[in-house]
Amino acid sequence: MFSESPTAKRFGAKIDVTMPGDGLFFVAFRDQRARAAITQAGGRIVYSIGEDKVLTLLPLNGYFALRGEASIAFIGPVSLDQQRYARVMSLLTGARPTPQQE
Amino acid sequence: MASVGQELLNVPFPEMVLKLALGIAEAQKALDENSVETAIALGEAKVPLVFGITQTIAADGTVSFEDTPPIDVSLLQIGLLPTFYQFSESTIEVTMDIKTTTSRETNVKVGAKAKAGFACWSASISVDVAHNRKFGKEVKGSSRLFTRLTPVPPPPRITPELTVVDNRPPKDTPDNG
Repeated sequence: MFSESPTAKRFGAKIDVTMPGDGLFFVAFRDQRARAAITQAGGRIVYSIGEDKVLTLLPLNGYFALRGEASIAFIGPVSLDQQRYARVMSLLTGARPTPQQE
Repeated sequence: MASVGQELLNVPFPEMVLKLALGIAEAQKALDENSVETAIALGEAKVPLVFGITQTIAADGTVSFEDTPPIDVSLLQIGLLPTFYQFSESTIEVTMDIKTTTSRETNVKVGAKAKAGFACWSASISVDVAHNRKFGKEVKGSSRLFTRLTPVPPPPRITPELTVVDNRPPKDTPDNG
């Protein structure tokens, strides 16, 4: 994909970007066609926040493909702070976090 | 003709390193800006959470639940953080294949003339020597730049501190009752 950019073609360059596995991404929609676009890019929606925001698992190439998608207002990589999440969940459920989560 | 050593010296390494560094700096800035935008988006996206549910069991055994009003909590507060990336190492590889050839060609033409006449003769020999030197040079090169991108922890102040204030009086126990 990057090798097809005008700059790469001008220099006859081959560009490779690789990252193993899938990443977690936060996606904000402009319209609901974004859901189909995420699936086509190899992504899987894992959590919906309202009607126009989701968390999705995507391969890196899928992320770069969706950056120019018209139905998507924003997409960015995120990670989960497990300690903080466990503390918030313990407030909600009253469950005590396990020692490795503190 | 430039020697192999001179060809190697002519490779603009300082310029290549400078351009690589400037390119990485610009790319790092773009990555950081994207991470900051993600942090803003996570701070603005809110989910309603119910932080307390009271289960009441009546004397007749019926059970009822009462939850506290939901509070809008941002995704940052829950623990979802933007991923920050950093260019940890960058390498420039330049491969050159230099081939120089020199050939020498020498052509010698020898001519002889002789004249003979009455009581006299003459002879002459002419030699014509031509030297040709041919030089050839072939230079092939390729360059490769690669850089490693690694995720790094976000700035520590990016998430609000979670503090629980419990103002409930301590329960009476047999020891302090």
